[in-house]
Amino acid sequence: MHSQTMQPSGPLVLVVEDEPLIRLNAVQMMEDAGYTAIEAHDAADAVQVLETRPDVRIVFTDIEMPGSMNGLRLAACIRDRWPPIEIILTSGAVIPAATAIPDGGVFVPKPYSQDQVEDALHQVAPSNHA
Amino acid sequence: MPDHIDQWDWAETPLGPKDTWSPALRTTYDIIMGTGFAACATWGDDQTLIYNAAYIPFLGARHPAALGQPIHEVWSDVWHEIAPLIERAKAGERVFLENLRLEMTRNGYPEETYWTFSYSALREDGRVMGILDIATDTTAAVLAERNQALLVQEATHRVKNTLSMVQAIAKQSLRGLADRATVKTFDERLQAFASAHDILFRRDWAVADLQEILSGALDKIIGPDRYSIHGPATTISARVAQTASLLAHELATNALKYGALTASEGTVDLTWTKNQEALVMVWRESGGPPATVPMRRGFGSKLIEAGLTGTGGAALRYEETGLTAEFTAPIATLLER
Repeated sequence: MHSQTMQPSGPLVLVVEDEPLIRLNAVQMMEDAGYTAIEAHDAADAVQVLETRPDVRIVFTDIEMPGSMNGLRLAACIRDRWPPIEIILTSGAVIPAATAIPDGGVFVPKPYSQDQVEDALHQVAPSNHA
Repeated sequence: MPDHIDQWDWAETPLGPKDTWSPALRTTYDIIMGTGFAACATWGDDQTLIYNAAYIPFLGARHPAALGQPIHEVWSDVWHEIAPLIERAKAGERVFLENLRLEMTRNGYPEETYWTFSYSALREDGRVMGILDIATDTTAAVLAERNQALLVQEATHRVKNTLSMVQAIAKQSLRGLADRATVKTFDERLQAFASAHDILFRRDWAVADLQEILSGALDKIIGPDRYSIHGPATTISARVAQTASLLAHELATNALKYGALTASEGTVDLTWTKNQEALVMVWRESGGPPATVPMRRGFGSKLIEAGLTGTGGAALRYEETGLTAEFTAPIATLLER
């Protein structure tokens, strides 16, 4: 089997997703891809995590989330406060306009496959393992 | 209110007392007061405004002061927008505007309203005397349509979120039990199924175009350069869009794994023709190894055998030149829900 024995040690990814099942699965996908993952359940939670974890290199966030900030606003906030962090956006709704995706950001439609997630991760920040 | 307008004393206006009016003006007046649509007219040198009770919401607080006033004074705030339309109507053009957005204060607060209306010239002895405006408030219909679009968007979003959750459950349940290739196959089938929803969403979930659905599925797996697609425009229902999308996905996956697309020169031609009774779609692989009957009949084979509409009509030929699959679907089934 492919991952149980692997100790992820690649770049740190913050997964932001309000739906627990999808979040759990996304975290697993990141680890299977050789990245380390931590999680946040909404944008405000994500900002708190980012304030204490300067080692986060990639934020993988859903666009539609409850709370005052959706994924697009979170992305804009990250661009402003933590410019070096790479952003991957995902959504089950309409694909956002190119202008809504921050510079260098990547969009992955839901439901996403392991391959799509890995392509997106490699595009923004190659893992040491990959 | 109609009584009120009917009892209005026109003597104080440039039109003079009603019993002195010309037959043309009298007829215009009767038409306006008789119709259930919001209607108004202008008449004479001052373009004096006449309107019925249904037109009052249009005016809001301007009523009743507007009755018998020159139209350019009544609509002074939007006159620059209306004047060109009135001029066109007076020049003999039938001016017809649908669902024009107007912000109005008719209940004490600004309101978004929509109106469909028509301006036409009124004549007396061949001379243009004014214009007739017949209108209907379409606010409710416009807002309902917008609401419907939002609902479709929300439904699509929910379907795809639900599919994401199904994917998460399946993947976590299969963890340690299935190999990566099996999970990948599942992922891709689920995505082919989900991608049909993107196209359906753009068409309000009612119908889709066959070619759009098929190439949407094929592009994801084999890329646009390695297949050709050709056939007459064909509308399919949402249900058929889903089975067609899965069918294209399975055919493409097989071609890539075992068929023509294992060879660098291999290609696929997908064509269909229609007659009164049926649509016949042909998937023809060429340039690859000879096709062989699969050793085991898995879920993928069953999906292919289910055909375009999920009810059969598939004929597979394993030939020297590659796989040829013919799918026949009665025309009537293409739009079945």
